[in-house]
This record gives sequence, C-alpha cells and structure tokens, in this order.
Amino acid sequence: MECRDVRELTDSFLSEQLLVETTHDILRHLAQCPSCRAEIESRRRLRTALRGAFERSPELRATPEFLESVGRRVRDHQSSRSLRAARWSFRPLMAIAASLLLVSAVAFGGREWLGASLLHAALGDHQNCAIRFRLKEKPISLEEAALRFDPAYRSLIAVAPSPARLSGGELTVLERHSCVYDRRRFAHIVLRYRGSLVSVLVTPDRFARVPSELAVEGDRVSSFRAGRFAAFVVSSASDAEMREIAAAVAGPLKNALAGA
Amino acid sequence: MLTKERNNGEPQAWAAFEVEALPHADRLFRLAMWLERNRAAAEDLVQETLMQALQSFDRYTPGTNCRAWLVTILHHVRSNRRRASGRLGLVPDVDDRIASTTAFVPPIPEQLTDEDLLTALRAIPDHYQQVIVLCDVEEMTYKEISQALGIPVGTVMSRLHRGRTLLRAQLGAGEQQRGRSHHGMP
Repeated sequence: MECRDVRELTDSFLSEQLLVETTHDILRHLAQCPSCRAEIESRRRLRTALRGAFERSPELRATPEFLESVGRRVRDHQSSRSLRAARWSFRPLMAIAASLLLVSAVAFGGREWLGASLLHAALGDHQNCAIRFRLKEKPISLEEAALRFDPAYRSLIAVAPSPARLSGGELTVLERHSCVYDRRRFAHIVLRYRGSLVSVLVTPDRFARVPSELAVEGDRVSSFRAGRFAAFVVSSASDAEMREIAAAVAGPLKNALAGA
Repeated sequence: MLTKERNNGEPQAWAAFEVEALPHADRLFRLAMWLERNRAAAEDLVQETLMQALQSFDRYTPGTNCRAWLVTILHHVRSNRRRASGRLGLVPDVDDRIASTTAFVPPIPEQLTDEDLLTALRAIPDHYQQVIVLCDVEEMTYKEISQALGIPVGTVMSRLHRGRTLLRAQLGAGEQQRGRSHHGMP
C-alpha cells in the first residue's frame, strides 16, 4: 500500500469503517512511514479536539432546568395523547354514569342522587388516578390530608386487607394517598390483585345511599358504609373476585374508621 | 401520584425509555443547538424528538445504538419542519467531483483552542458540518449517518472527505490571520 492509498483511506481508518484486511495493510504501512503516521496522528488529534470542543462549549450546553423537565414534559404529552385516544372508550362509561345520576335523581330523590354522584366520582377517580395518572390536582399524603381536612384520614395510613391472601393470590397495597376527583376528596388506597388495579376510595358522607354492587362498563363497584364514611371498591375484577376483595377490605376499614 | 410499577404497558415502556433514551437528552441538545443556533428552537427540537421517539419506542431494538436512533429522529423532525416552513435548501450533488479535485491539504495547526475549532467548523457549508459532527462528535458509523441524513453511504464518505479538507483549510487560514495579527501585520 502506497502513501496515496493510505491518505485516501485515512477517514475510514480513523472511523474504524474498513475491513480487517485493509486495516492491517494500513497498519503495516504506518509501521514504516513516519509521514503517514504523523498525518494520521494529526487527524486523530483534530477529531478528539473537535469532540472536546463540543463537550466543553458553554453555548451548546443544555440548562439543568431543561434536562430536568424535558422527561416530565415528554411523559405528560404522551399521557395526554393516551387520554385522548382512550376518551372514546371512556365516554360510554361517563355517559352511563351521568345517566345513572339523572335516573337516580328522578326516581329515588336526594339520597340516591347523592349516592350516584359519589359513585360517579369514585369511578372517575379510579380511572383518572389509578389507571391514567391524570388528575387536575396533585394527590397528597394521608398524613397531610389528616392535618388539612379530616383527622380520620390518619386512621387509613396503616390499614391493610385481611386476609391479604385471597383464593386467586395476594392482594397487595401499592400506594395510598388522598386525591380529588370532581371536587370530591377521597382517601385512595391502590392495590393489585392478579395483575389488575383495585381502588379503595373512602370519603366523608352520612347521607348518600349507594347501591352495594354495581357494574359499569368494564368496572365493578362495591360500596359500603364505614362509620361516617362511604367506601367504594372499584376494579375490573370478576363479580366473585370483587366480593372477595370487598370482604377483605371492608372489615379492616370499618374497624379503622369506627371511632373516627 | 402513582408509581411506575402499575400494571399496564405504558409505564413499562416509559421505564425502558427513561433508561435507554432520556440519558441522551444532553448530547441531543448539543447537536440540536449546533444545528439551530438558537436555544429555544434547540429545546423545542429535542423535546419533539423525544416525544416522537417515545411514541415509536416499540420500533427501537434494544442493544443497538440508541443515540444514533435518536439522532436519526432529530434530523427527520428538523427536515420536516424546514420543509414545512420552506427553508429546506437543496444541496448540490457535487461532493464527489469536488473531493476528487481537491489537491492541497494544509497541515493542522499545532495550537488550537475550542473557539478556533468551532469557528472554523461554522465557516464551512452546513451539509459538510453535519457529517463531520455526526462522525467525529457523535461517533456514528457511515451507515448510521447515511440513515440519519437520508443520503447514500458514498455521499457520506465524500462529504466527510471534502468537509475535513475544508475544515483544515479554515483552520490554516485562521492560523495565518492569528500569525499576522501577532506580528502586527494588517
């Protein structure tokens, strides 16, 4: 290989884009040619210097604020896209819930109407907090909710299903907090059972009358009273699973809220 | 707020994206800033690139060069924007001819500052800058550069060759100017 051949292949050689045989030919040439060695070294130095100049340039550097926030903004955008895509499938659920409100109000009067309103809020909270992470207001801890709104929220900080092991597997607590949906504040305990999310939603209420079991679209709701609170269990689990889950949750909840 | 361990596929995809793609935001920004020369435009370009990357993350093959994949998306986003705004100029396909007619390659000056290098790089035509940056700074292969810019590998090679020659000429000219001013010459 001649000097001219080496000079023509220098770029590819430095970029490690050559066949092994050609690379060996160049290396053999470089071993005996100080001029080409100097040229290759000079070009290598230029590449390294250019890379370094890019890395050190303050003008090209992203601000820490941008790097910190870009991930969140990308994720928020993706979530809103998913929400828009899901809106059509969620819309019938909302329509049914709205119909429930209307029918309840007409047929049963105030207590039933309020019950249907609570049910709508519980379903919405499960969908928008547990499933889609989309709430207008950021959830807060139960401790903070106890300090700011109702000391009874503190009673739910340690409450756990009993038994935790059901016929289909473990009922695991993933998270607990207080959140707001449709202007209704809930204590929200999120659990997982057989791969599905289960929401336990507890809200202060003495008046509403809610149906004990109800299926709306793909979700099932069980509700019961616990002292001065209304409690809802929402999940896409089967009827039988829901009864098991509700039974495992109701006892500890009622105990925790008995004196609250 | 709920944690990523929730069960549907979206949080899992996000977790993988967060590990594989987001760490490259810093490098992507440098490239975007170089191309756009405007901080707000560069931030917007990087954000749009990452959004599109997240949407099509199922098409990324784990274990391959994620940064090269992101750079490809960034160039596509930028090209589409420039096309939409009518700013996409045609690059004359004369790279091979010019490369074969360039005889003299000036030596690279011994002492170079970062500013000398970046100023010299800025002084050469954009399409040469692009391949040099992708090859030398982003360390992408010819094939990856070819995919990112939508040009044949042969064109990548000829633009690199021509671009580096022009860069050396610029560096040499800068060195001469510094020498003149150092010696008080006009």
